[in-house]
Amino acid sequence: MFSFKKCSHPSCTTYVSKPFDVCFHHASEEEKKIILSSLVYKLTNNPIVRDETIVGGAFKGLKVKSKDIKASNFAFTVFENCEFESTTILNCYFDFCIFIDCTFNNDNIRYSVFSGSTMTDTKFLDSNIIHSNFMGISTKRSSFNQCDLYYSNFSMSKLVSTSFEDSNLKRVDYTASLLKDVSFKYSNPEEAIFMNEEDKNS
Amino acid sequence: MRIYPHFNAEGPVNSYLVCDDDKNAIMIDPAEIDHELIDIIETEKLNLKACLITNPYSTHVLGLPILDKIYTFDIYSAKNIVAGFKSLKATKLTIGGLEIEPYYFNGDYENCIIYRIGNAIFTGDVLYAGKIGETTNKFERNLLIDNIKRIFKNLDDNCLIYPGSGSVTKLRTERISNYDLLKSEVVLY
Repeated sequence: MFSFKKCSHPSCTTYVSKPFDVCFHHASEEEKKIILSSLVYKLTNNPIVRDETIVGGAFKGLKVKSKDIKASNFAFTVFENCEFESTTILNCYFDFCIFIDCTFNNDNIRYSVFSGSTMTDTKFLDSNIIHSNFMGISTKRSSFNQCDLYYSNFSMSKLVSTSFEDSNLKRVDYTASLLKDVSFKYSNPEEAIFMNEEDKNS
Repeated sequence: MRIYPHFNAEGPVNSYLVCDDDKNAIMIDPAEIDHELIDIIETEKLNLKACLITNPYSTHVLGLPILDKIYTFDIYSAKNIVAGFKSLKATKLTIGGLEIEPYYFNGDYENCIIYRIGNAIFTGDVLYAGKIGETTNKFERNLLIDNIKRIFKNLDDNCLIYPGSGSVTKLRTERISNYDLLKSEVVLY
């Protein structure tokens, strides 16, 4: 698990980025460079990336292939033009991130959190994305095609021009979501949840 | 501290293995003990010290008999007996390097406990990602929401939430996007 140690900056509750005792935001420019370059190196070279934290970082053109990313925290980070291919993402936090023109291809994503993120032109393709949290996300021109989304949660989201085609939507939660120009072609939306039980009965 | 989430088709519910740096381990809700869980305990050489039960009357405890045959551990819950096993009343306790704080409820969930270990919160059936547990009526619902808000009031937004089933979440996400908690704050004139 990534370190629960809090940033040493007064009143900051963000988790620290290794090896420093401050979070990425409060790190000096020099420290930021070290944190970013070390993470990029690990994500592109190490087979297993574990217990890493970067909050508020930015990655551009990152290519992650056949890696295991575990128990890591990437909250409030910007990913632009990044590719995650044949990668396992387990118990990771990508909450309130911005994904622009990213692809997740043939990945195994479990127990991970993408809540509050904004996804533009981002594609999840041919991936297992089970037990993952996409609550409150905002998507545009994005897709979750040929994916197993079992038990994932898209409640309170704004999904525009987004497709969930040829995907398993069993127990997927879309409660209170805004769906505009959303395609469920060849999927099973009848097994997904679109309304809270209490609202159904009222 | 390390947390291993584990999905059990039985229920379907989540179990969690939590261990400190010295390999002292706790299992939260041993719903179904399969080779995957045993593999983690054995390959990581974990020393299972305790099982924490969030809800003693649910599928969360179905794995206790198997686990009891393999390991020796204490059981903590809100009741004295859980699935036929003697249980200790969960209080604030320390197991190895893990400091555990239980939070109790009243009403429909009086037998349930939320556990906080460091910055991780194990909510069992009380709170899932985006919604709260089922209740028998509106009064109970409001009571549960009040209880949850009371517990969350002093906790940090970056706390990780591990529910009894469904996806994991963060406290910040629940404060912003939990449909049930948000709806309770809407006043209609």
